[in-house]
Amino acid sequence: MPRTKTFKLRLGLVAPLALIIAVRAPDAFAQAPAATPTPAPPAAATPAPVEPTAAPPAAPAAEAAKELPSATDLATLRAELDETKKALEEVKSQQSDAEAAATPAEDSSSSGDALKIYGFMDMGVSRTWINKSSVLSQIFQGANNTTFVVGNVNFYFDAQPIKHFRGLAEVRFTNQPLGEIVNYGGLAGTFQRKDSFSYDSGGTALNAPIWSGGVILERAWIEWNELQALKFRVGNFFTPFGIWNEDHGTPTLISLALPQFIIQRQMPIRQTGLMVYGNAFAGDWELGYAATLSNGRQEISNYNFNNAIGLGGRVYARRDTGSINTTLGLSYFTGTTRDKETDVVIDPSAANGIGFKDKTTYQYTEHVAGADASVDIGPTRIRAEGVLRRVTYKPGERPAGNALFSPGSFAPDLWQETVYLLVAHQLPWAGLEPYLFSEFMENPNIVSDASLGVSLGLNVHFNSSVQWKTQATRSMFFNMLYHSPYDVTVNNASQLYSRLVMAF
Amino acid sequence: MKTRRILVSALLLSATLGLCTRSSEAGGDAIVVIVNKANPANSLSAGDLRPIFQTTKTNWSSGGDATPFNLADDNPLRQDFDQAVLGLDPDRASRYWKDRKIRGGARAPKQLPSTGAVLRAVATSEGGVGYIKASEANASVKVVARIAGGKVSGP
Repeated sequence: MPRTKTFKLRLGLVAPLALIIAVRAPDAFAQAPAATPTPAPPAAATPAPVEPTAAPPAAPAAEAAKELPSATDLATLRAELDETKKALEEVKSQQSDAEAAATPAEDSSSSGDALKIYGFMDMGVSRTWINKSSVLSQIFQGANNTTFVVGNVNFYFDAQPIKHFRGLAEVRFTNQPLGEIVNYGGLAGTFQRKDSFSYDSGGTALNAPIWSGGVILERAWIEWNELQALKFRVGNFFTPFGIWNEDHGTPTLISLALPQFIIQRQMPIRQTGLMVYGNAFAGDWELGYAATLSNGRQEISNYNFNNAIGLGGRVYARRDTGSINTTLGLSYFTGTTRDKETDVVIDPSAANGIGFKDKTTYQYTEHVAGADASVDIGPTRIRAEGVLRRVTYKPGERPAGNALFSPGSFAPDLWQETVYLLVAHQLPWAGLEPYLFSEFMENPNIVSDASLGVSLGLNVHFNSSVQWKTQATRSMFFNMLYHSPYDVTVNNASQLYSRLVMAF
Repeated sequence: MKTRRILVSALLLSATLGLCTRSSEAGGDAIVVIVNKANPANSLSAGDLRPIFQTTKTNWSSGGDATPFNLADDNPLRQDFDQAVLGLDPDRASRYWKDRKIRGGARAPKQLPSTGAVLRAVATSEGGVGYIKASEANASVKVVARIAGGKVSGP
């Protein structure tokens, strides 16, 4: 039964009953002692002739006493109330039955709404301070400017047309790549900025302007989930690696700033392939796993160039007592990434004398391992992750080093390590949740070989859907292993981010 | 006097329509957790119920789908149940499910509009599990736990 109809039915039955009670009630109300004695009726200006009577005139108290109901009246009233209550219970019961009848108890073909749409958004302002002599100030276009931003506009399309099968597509709408630098000027050639402006051919004015943006497919998969211990997911999914990559969205993540192992893509953020996952319970502990078989990294193409698959997985143990929720996890990924170019060449053996020749520009194998811990103790949330990555290039297939800073060099094999700790505590008033986030990373590159980031942040939870997040970060660079010909601390940077975040 | 009459009538009306401030555990009536009569489980603890109502446990230990039925977020029974079983107040429970959606996790339990609907759904669904007022339980379902004073105990 539709809600409005139900409400009308309920109101229709209850309103008259309440009115009956109101009409019948004066006697009952008279039981309550009045705060002030009932005043005597005002004397008439001209006294009317009075019939002589034997009874003395009634005093005000006696008048009030007259209004008190008799025991019989009260009993009748109680009986009526009981009958009303019974009638209401019956109506409620009938209503529940009607609602239950309208709601399939267990639909064999579907387990709920076939399609649900939800998502999140964040908008706000950013400011970064970087020394103008640092290369970073030119790489990051927003550096040293205050910029209002449209952050994430993400919509989820969650379909479950039939029980045990579910599909999820998450898309993000963005203004990108409007304004991106396509090419630097000077030594690098001719400066060029991406301009997505065009005239709106579908508009009502010939010269109405529009700026096209982009739609990012964050993930899209279909899964079969009948068995708790063995579920299959196929498509494009977030790599099951640690905490952050799964939390993914600004309302769920505690920190606004991303950790470097996500930014530097120390493991593939998402993969296209097959995921098998499930869990089982042993006492208070939930033991879960996810194993992936994929094309590996997707940064350069959605195709697999070399039949080298990516393998990975995660195992975790979780104990949730209701007051303390602890999750410990281990993750791993390995894969070979190859880039290739194809040249058109003269080939006498080809039918028309023209052939194609593939050549590898670079190829490397990586092993990435991670460990994570997540503990929620009441209003306190603690997150920690560590990632270790080893990259080994195939001999003779290393990419060129940075042409500007290290001309003639080649990329070396490398180790990368990252660890972060995040502690947040929700205060008992105004939804305030301050947090501290610190991250250390060793990652040899043109800026330095190590960095330390320290952030202080504040989340204000207005309600379960809307929060205001603000974070100040200081990033410091230094060399631990290598000597640098210049002072790397010139790259030290400060950032301030603020976003209004909404989940819906 | 007339004003008081109208006031009391309005209170009566709002109480019947369920608009008054909620009281804990549905006005003192204990909550009972019910399963389908075919379910071999005779008693479920908070630890058993928590993963089922978090939809991380989707199969009964004895086999078959575990199908939890919830009441609406603002239902006092639901709020008492969430507090006792999940350890979450209404705000945190709401955030919990929003976070789950953003992570792309399994869907939340199906919400039904009333305890009558829960009773009927559990009675007719082999893997069904839900919660209702103790006074509403009948022979069509099996009571496997009782919630009173914020604690989950045996049936």
